[in-house]
Amino acid sequence: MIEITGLTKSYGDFTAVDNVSLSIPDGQFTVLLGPSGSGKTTVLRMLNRMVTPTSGEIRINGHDTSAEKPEHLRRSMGYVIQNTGLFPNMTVRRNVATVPRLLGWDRKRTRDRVDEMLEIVGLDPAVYAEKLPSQLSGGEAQRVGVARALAADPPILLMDEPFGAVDPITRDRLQLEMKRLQRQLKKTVVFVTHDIDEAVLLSDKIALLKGGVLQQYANPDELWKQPANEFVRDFFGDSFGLRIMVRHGLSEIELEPVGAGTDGLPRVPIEATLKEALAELIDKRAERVLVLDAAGTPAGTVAFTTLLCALGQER
Amino acid sequence: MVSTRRHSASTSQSGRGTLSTVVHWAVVAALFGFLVWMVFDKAGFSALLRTLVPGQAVVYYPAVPLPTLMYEQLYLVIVASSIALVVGVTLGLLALSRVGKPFRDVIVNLGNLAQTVPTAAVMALAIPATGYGAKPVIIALVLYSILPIMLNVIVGIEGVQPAALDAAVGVGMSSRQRLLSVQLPLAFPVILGGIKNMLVINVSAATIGAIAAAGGLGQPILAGFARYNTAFIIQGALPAAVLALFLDRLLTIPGWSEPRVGDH
Repeated sequence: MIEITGLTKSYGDFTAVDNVSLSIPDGQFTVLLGPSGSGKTTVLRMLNRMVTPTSGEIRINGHDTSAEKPEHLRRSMGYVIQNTGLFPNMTVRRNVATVPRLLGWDRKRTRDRVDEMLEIVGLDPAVYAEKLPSQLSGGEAQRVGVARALAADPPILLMDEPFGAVDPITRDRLQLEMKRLQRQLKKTVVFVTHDIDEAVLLSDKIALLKGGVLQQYANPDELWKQPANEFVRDFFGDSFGLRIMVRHGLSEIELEPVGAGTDGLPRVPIEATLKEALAELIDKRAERVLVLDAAGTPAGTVAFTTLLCALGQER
Repeated sequence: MVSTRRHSASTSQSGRGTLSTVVHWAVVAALFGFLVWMVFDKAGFSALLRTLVPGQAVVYYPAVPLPTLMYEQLYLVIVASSIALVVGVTLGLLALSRVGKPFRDVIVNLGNLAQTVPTAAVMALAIPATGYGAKPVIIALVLYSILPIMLNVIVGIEGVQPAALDAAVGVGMSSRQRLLSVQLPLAFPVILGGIKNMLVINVSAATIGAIAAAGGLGQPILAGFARYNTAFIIQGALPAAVLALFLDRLLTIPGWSEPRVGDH
């Protein structure tokens, strides 16, 4: 549980973060979202005290973080940044082993842990452990960055635009893996981005900031249905409803029975998102899709209008 | 200024690097062999000098044996360079520390100033205080070579990728751990460039030590000037030049490109 109360950071006359309060339960994927200069990165960096707050308080499991030594605090949180921040003079193994070594783990335990972490992020230790960062692609380097952050099994993971500098295809894949990883490891993630789609896809809750002031802290569906103010509404824009469809799957919808004449319908698997189903309808210019269950047998059909209603009404 | 530095180029481009690596070490070995031959093979080197300077009655400097002169030369260079290395690195780190940050420019300017004073002038000024011998020469060389070390430490460490430094803070390294395991290793190619520069400068500058009676390879050069004997000059200058080249090549790691402050 991270409790942020009245957090403020001023540089002279300029207030970068203004009286922000947030409560982040364990295991929640929280995205700090906002345009550049909104103070989102400053909030993140105050969490591990790379930036010292001007006023306000951050408590983690009830303990005031200002009472702790910054180095110790940071070792208890994973930290991933854009451009990976891998140490170019160290192998992948040494990079991932950084925090375990700082914590004084013995060699065997560190070694095993590094192998385990590389496998978790989808890199074969036999291939990658002895490589240098300069020998990795952008996506691979970012995976190593995540492995390094997770190596000492910290309960909290701080990520500052980690996928901002990788190509779009790799980014999509990394985002999906990040989501899977967070569910699997149940980390409390605080993730900074300015990319709305990334925020909508990954988050349990989004904290939208503007000019250092928290505008709204809610899950994406709420942000869409009940935007707190004009800025929130404008920021997410007219296509917000469409964007939110990636958060919902066909499995949430009550299917209509498979009737006659379904042979010509486009087919989508039941684990598809509403957005994928909609894309299929648009692509095939159909009004209805046939939904296949895990075994590949038809489970039912969904009509275009049902898809639209699935997100709920009252906007 | 130093953004193009690639730390690991030598290992990542092994295919292309193999041949140039072999050539590099062959050159190092050849320079070393030539140097040893000149210093220890008196008859051979005399024959070479006689060929180079025909018509000179005495071609081999008779007063002090060449191995002794080389030893004196190396003594001056090694002692001065070691002191300059310690002082230069210390000053460089000091200029980067939280305490020294406000004085960074002052320290750099002092180093620059020290390098503008001619070595011979420093020696002349030091002799009344220290007497003749190695001491005034070492003082002059140290003053002269602190700058390349200090500046390369500063530039090298300031040139460390911001992302790597940010990550080093973020994972919870103390400032000492950051310095030892991230900043210094990443700045090393640049610092090595400074060390190389210093050694080359010192090998040549130490020959001036002969005027302060510090001995060294400058002694036959000085004698050659006095007696219009070109062979004596070559006997001092050639080993000094080859020694400088040898040290420069020895400290050049194939595949590393180390930008040096003095080269810009």
